[in-house]
Amino acid sequence: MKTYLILAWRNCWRNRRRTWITISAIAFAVLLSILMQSLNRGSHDLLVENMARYSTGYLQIRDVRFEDDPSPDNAFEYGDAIEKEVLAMHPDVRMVIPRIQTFMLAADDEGTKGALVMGVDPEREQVLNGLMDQLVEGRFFSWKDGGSGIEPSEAVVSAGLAERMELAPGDTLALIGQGRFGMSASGLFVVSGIVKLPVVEMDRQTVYLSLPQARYLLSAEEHVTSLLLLPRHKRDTDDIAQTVRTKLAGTELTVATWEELMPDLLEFIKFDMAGSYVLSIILYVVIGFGFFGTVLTLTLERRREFGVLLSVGLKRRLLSLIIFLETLMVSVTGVLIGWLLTTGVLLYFVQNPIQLTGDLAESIMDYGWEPILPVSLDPGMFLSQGLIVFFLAVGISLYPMAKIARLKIIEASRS
Amino acid sequence: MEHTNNTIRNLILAWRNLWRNPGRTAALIAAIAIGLWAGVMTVGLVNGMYEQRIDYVIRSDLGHLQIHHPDFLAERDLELGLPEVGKVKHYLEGADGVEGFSERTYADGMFRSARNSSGVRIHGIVPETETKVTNLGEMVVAGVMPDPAAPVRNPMLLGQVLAEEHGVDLGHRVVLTFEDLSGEILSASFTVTGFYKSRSKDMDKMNLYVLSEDLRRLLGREDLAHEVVVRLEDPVTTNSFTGVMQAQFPDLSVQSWDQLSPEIKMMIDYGGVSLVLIMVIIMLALSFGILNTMLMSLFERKREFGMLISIGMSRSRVFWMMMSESVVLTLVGSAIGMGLAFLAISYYSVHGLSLAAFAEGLAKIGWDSLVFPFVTIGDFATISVIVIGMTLLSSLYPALKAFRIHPLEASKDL
Amino acid sequence: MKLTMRKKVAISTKGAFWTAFFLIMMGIEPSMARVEDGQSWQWQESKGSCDRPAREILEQMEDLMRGESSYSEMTMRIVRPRYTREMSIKAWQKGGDSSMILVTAPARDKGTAFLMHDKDIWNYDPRIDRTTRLPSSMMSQSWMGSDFTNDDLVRESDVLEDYTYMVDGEEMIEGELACRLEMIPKPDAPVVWGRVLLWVSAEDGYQLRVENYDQRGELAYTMVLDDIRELGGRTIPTRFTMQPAGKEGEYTEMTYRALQFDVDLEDSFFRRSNMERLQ
Repeated sequence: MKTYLILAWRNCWRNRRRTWITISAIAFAVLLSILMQSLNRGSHDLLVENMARYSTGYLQIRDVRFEDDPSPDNAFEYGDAIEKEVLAMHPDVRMVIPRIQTFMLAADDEGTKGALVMGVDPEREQVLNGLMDQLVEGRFFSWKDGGSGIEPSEAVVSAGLAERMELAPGDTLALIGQGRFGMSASGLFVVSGIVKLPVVEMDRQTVYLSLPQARYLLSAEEHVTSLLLLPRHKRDTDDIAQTVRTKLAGTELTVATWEELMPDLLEFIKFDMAGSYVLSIILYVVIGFGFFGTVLTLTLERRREFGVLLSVGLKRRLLSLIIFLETLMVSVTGVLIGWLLTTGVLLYFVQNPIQLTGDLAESIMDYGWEPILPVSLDPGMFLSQGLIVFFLAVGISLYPMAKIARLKIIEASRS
Repeated sequence: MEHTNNTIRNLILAWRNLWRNPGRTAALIAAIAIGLWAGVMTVGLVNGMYEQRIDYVIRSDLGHLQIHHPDFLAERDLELGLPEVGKVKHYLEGADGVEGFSERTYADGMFRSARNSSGVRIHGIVPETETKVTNLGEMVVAGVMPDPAAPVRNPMLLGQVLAEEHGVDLGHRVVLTFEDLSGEILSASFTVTGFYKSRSKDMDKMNLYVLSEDLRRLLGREDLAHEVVVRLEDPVTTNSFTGVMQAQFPDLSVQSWDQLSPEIKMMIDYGGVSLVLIMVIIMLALSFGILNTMLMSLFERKREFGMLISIGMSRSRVFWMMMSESVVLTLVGSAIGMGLAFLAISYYSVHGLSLAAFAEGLAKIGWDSLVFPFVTIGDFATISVIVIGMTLLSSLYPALKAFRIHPLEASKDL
Repeated sequence: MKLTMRKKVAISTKGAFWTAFFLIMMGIEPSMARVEDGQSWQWQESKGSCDRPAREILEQMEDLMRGESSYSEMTMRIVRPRYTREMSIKAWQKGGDSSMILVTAPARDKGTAFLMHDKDIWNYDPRIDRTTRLPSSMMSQSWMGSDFTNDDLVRESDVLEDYTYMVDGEEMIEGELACRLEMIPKPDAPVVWGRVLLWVSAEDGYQLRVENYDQRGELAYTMVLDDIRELGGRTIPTRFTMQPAGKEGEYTEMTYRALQFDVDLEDSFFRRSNMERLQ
């Protein structure tokens, strides 16, 4: 076997041009198909990231009953001890972000409006979605300045709500609603700051309180309604979810991923991905036909060579084998070079992303997102596309082998 | 005259030349044809996908344009009805290109059953005109839409999901509680006459439909309409129609669907950009394939060219010979490609392309995953030009290489 | 992508019929006021039998519980699987359409007041020193975390007008003969029930039990009235327990501690400004 491999290898390099053309065809095919996947996946990843960061996060631990009844009744205990436990559940959990939230009425002298009241730790939220950076007026709570978090009573209001209720820093706001276990919840708060949230629905109706403040208000001193887990990398999400779910089995808590928390978004992405599968297939067809042309011509060119070899006594089967080995080597080399090339191109796009312009760019920026076309570096793409192109190339190259099997020596020698 | 004759002769010669090697020629023609087909299919598919999404939104609720009191959408204050409903309707009746229009009245309130209560948006509709504008009627999965002629008190259509949550069956009585125009809280009983189902469960839980006349009576004003929604015969006229109408009614807010839903506009623009990128990728694949094949064929024919040059044919003639071959190939390939593409698009634009097979676990609703590709004449022309252009360009390089053939070297090549 | 948020309202019972009785207890229910001298009661019709028109039984029942005005002190106990809460309240009512409730315990809720007039509810919260009118979106929310809703406090459902009723039979409840009445809501009544069963003491005319059924015929809520004693000069049940069907260990229980009928109350008592002063 070894002899044949060496023979095949030498054969390849006897005619450099031919071999290089074939290799480059394969490498280019790999580049293009990965690029297509990368753009598609990149934009989906970005969409998920933006949606997750600004609302549900990637993973949330909640009480099992919370989904059907999202009230403070279904808050669960949370403290330093529990935090440590959760962090220890999986090495890729970077951070834990506690929240307690419920719908209440926000009231001032003019009237009342429904509001989503969220008790948060602004510094941790900042890591997830840059909450503190979205401050447009005033400041966040003085909690971390060494206070109890309960006095003075401060609230940070979303810009849309502030506009609807004509609130500015320094104004007083009343929050009325129901706390844990039916206890009434009400209090007066001084607006310390205003934030502009990128998701319009949230910007219209959100009030942030410090976590201890909200807990006191809702009679849920030791509790939270959800614990967001921030993974080190988005791709760790499912792995973390699985581990945590197992560890939480038998308790009253469960974990949900963004897919379960935002099913509509998931639907949208799946639909889009289905479309891009079809487009990928179209690409493969184009690549395939182009490659076939190359291989066909290559075979024609080598007809004489084959004819001579056969007439000299080389057995057909042996020749087929050698050609096959050539094909394999060329294909492997092509894919490897394709990977290298693609890595270079993608890295370039990571550093210098394709910029969007015009109306589109503006609407994207209104959302608080960057107006770029992102690419994904997921290694899975490399593998899958590499394999597809490899098999495509080898499959198409079977043609010359078939030709050899039927080659009439005399005809071949004449060409 | 002479020149044209020459050109035609060249082309015929090129044609004959090509068929000396049928295999390779066929392969090249196929590649070009497929390239064009691919371009058209891609554009068609992406067009179809976006169209489907937009169309759904327009068809299910938004319409092509809507008219409101300028502050209504921001405040949702029930008092802010359209001040000149009669005039608006009169204008729309007389305007060209209007397929239908309908007025709506809204109230936000609580939906109550024996089991539970939920916050809902109450849509007061006029079923007769509403069905001309939206496809609400098609979304009904059980029972019927509210019907003013039916002997039922305060008929209501609600989302199937909501009904299930509340344990409500057809014919049951439910109570809606909301504030009337003077701010008084009122409760009224409604009879469930039908269930509907849309693509979004969340929307199904939040929106229910009653007769506009019933809602107005309860609110206390017979002529109260918050919104007029319009469907046009030709969607392309949307922007111009909106502009003209807004000028006619400067005190009202007349907005087209993309103004009403900026997210959709963003999605469309984004789609445009990704389409360009995909086309670039596919065209590059095509060009490279052609280039490679032609390079290969150049080497295969080196001896042939070497001989031609050594017997006195000028290099530029060789060049033109190769280019002529490419031109013929391109013309024939494109023609076939256009034919293929035309057939494919004609078929799929009528029968639809089902994406369900390609999506894991997306088989929710059948019509959800059905896409109807389409291309405009302009698209077709553009794609053809691009494909032909790219193909000719790719053949240029190999043809240029022909210049550098050394006859002696060529004959040695094996 | 639109983010839709939906308020999930606390599950609570809205017994239209329960309301009628609650209001009757509080004396808030309007309609036929047949107040005698307030201290002693005379029955005009024969008692001890269920062989009478249903309307008559119902009217007697209403009369028994009403006065031109009343003052009461009650304890409300909310029992849930995970917790139990107790509250003490004082209540005043007059004329059938005005009433005031003051929470006196526990400390956290002390001083909270509710003023019901017509169909509006005003709420005064001493912690924020603010009087708020409850919007329609809050009407279905539970009142103070109990199995009653805010809506129940002002429900305009009139027993006699919203239902058709008939005597269904007789039963013994805790040694007493009770007439069972079946009440069917009229089609246009803003009532969520399919039907309501009601048991009234044949002898003494007070209600003993109420069962609310949904439109599929399934039992939704049961209310039991017991602990019959003399209070405020009348013999009435002083404890009523509201039990949602199928929820073990979950109910709301209200007990009268004190009750006076026909107290002297000015109209001016039922004003928003008075809510703060009640403390």
